[in-house]
Amino acid sequence: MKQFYTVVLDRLASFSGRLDSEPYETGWADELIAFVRVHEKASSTALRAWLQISPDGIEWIDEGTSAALSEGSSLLFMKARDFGGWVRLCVECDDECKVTTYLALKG
Amino acid sequence: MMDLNDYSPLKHVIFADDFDSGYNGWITLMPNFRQDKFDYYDSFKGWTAWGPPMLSSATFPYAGTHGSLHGTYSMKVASKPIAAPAEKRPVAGSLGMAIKRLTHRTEGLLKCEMWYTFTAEQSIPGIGENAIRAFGFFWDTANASSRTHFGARYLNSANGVMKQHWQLFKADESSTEPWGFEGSSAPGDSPDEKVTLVRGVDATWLGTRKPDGTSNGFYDIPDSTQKLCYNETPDKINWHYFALTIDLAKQEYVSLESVDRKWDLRGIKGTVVQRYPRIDWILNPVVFIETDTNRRVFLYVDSIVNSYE
Repeated sequence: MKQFYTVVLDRLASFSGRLDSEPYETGWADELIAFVRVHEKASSTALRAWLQISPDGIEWIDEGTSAALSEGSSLLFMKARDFGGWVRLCVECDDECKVTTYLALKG
Repeated sequence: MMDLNDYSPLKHVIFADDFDSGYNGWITLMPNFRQDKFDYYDSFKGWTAWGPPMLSSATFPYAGTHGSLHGTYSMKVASKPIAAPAEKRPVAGSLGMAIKRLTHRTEGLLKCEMWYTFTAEQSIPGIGENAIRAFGFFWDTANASSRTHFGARYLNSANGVMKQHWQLFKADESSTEPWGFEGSSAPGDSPDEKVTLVRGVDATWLGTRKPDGTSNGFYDIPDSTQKLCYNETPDKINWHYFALTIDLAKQEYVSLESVDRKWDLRGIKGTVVQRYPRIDWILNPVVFIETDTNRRVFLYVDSIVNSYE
């Protein structure tokens, strides 16, 4: 059977501005779904998220996948493949918000 | 089951985890939630963000992939690039921890062996040897009437000064300095029962710490100075053998083995505390690493075996 693992990158994390997750090693996985669950946020504030990849977990570049939180929703997701050995999840929100972020990895 | 050629287990193997075959049930260690909402007890303060485990290929910026002792993957636990001084308790993210959860079958001898290595992130020049404060292994154990944390910690560096000796999880019974936990830690058996973390529980982030890396939560093993191999750059990692044996019936340590050394620990008792609600007979192995500076540090576990007889 394939391996599967959901890692919680940031749990109940409050921030405003930008939240970059810690580097997470993904070399074993073929595919992922990244989730951002929004616990608290001003209703009018936009929130978006995107993925970055890295050769070494130190230098980062946008992978190209991004998503914005839909109005009235508390959850967004992104799918990706061919991301190599490291992924991190970036979230941006202009006002104070509280999120839990995940990578659901399979390979 | 994995190849046990590099191991010397006791008669019965409980688990033998080679991380080339997956995570094997290891997960992040996070604080308990309150009962009235999905949030931490106030008493856990900043101790809420220990780095989770990951399957690592041990890949470095200039050397590429090191792989593991037995293949490609090891289990890595990482700190965040944030540290408190050695005389302060850890802050959120300054530790990486991974835990597995099971229960006992007996109260005899119990042994943990692992092949592991450690390094600092190669994000800045310098080998980073003194960026690693400590790492180790412990069991959170219980029977029907008590709970004990048994474990060993390698104190590598404190406030940038190399220490390089071994400690045991054992509270200083003569110390009157605070353990550091106030308030509730879990629901009780009844709504009126208050549960809290008492002296001897969770020394990884509690206890009164000193600038030299000592603490009233750890017992310094005599004659245990050992210069573990930390190679010439952070991307040269050498795998080490570790073994800790305890006697659950006598509630004492038996031996610690590290590379070429072995310490007889018979007669050194664990810190036995009262029963905690609902965790009767738990046997939770934990690995951890703590950073000494604002630099990520990594503990890699190639494989780990627990056995008993």
